[in-house]
Amino acid sequence: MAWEPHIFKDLHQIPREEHVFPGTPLCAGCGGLESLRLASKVLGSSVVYVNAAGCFTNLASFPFTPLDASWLYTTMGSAPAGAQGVRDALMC
Amino acid sequence: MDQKKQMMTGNLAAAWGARLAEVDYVPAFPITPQTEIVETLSQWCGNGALNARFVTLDSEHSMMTAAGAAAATGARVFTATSSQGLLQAFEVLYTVAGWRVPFVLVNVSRALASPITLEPDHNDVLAARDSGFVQIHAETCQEVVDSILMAYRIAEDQLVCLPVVVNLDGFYLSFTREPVLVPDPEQAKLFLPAFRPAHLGFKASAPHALGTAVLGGSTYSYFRHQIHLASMNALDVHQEASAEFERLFGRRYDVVEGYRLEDAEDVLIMANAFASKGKAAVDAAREEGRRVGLLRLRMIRPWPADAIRRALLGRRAVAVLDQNLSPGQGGILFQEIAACLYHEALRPRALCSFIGGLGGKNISEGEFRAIFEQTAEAGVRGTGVGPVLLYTEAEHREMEQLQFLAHDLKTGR
Repeated sequence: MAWEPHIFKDLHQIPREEHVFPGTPLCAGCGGLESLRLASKVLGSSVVYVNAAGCFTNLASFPFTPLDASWLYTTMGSAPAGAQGVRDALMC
Repeated sequence: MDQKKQMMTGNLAAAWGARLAEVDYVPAFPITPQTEIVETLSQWCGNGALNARFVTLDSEHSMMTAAGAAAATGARVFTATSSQGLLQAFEVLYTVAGWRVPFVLVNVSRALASPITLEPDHNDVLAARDSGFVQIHAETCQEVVDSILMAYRIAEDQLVCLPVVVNLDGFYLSFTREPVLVPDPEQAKLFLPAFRPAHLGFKASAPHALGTAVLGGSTYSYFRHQIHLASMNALDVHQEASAEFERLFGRRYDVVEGYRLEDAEDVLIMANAFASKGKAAVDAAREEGRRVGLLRLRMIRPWPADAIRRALLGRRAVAVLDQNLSPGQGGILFQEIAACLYHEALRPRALCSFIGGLGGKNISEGEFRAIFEQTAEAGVRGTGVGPVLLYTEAEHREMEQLQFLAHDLKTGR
């Protein structure tokens, strides 16, 4: 699926559909979570998020995930390599 | 020699294992003495002999992550490393085993720094003993290619669903040409059908969360117990794979291999390529009238306790020759052998521990003779010896010369 860059000039232009849902174990008002929520509005749901150790470790805590996209949690510093493995294999 | 046999190195045999398994993806990073494996696969991916995607990563840590992540999509993945590379990937070994992704890793054993060296011992692969990877240790180049096919079958079995490491010794196998019968590709396909995992299929359009955190020890314990139970299942799955392999290819591999054990009073335990030296030493000792045999450990995780007990109960004495050293403790395999015999009424009267072959150091005929003599005496006496650090007088004299030279160079005298 081709992905087009979007430029939003005011808040009203941001898509209303949600891909990150409430009820995560992250702190109330987490700026990182808000960033992810906004990014997901552009990325949509056909995405694999690959995340390494940090606060987002707790984003998907068994058996819950707040995402309607896929999630892979890797060790510190290896998120790009995990993403590469997923991408490479899906393109095989 | 059979016409169809080819002379090939252990590394080429390992590459053939991946090729016959028709792997989809090879994330790679070079390290001596493994590099020939990924070089060969790179060539085959380039010339179309192998229809796989070959990608070089920036480290073994990344390579192992990419391997696990790709396997989570349901691709058949192969990768290889050695020594420092395996340790560089160490935290990822535990992580991908926890992801329950089946892929095959070849480790070409090389002793660990420091001091840094190139030749083999098993401190590298045995450090990964508790990671959750199934471990198969090969003695010959033929066993390398055969074991990789068996490893995929075991890894991908739904009762196991764990990564498998196939170990071969650097130099002694990696760069040594031996006659190898490359399995027929059509037969290999019968043995190892295409991977169609029902439980894997990590992709964007089917939301799936993998490697998620757990809150609390009971959830954590559940998943860790699952890894243990799955690993234990690999004993039966290996047996089933072994029977099918023998039916198709006529070669049989069990979790342990007995050599001249039938009437053996004393048994020497070894693993990997140096077991060939051990078998020759058994032959020599038999000619001198000693009733000795050898038990080679092929599967080290899961630990084949029942097969080991069957081979050792009722013997007079057992010697474990560890090609590894846990400083402050001794031989790693010795401890495991001792643990699985403790409750047996018919356990051998003495267990002896020898440390040899570190950094590829030779084990001479004289050292083997001394091992058999000391083991027999221990059996008569009823008390074991060790850990004995094997080092000959000639080696000691040579080392002293180097030390004198180092001293002279430093002091200018």
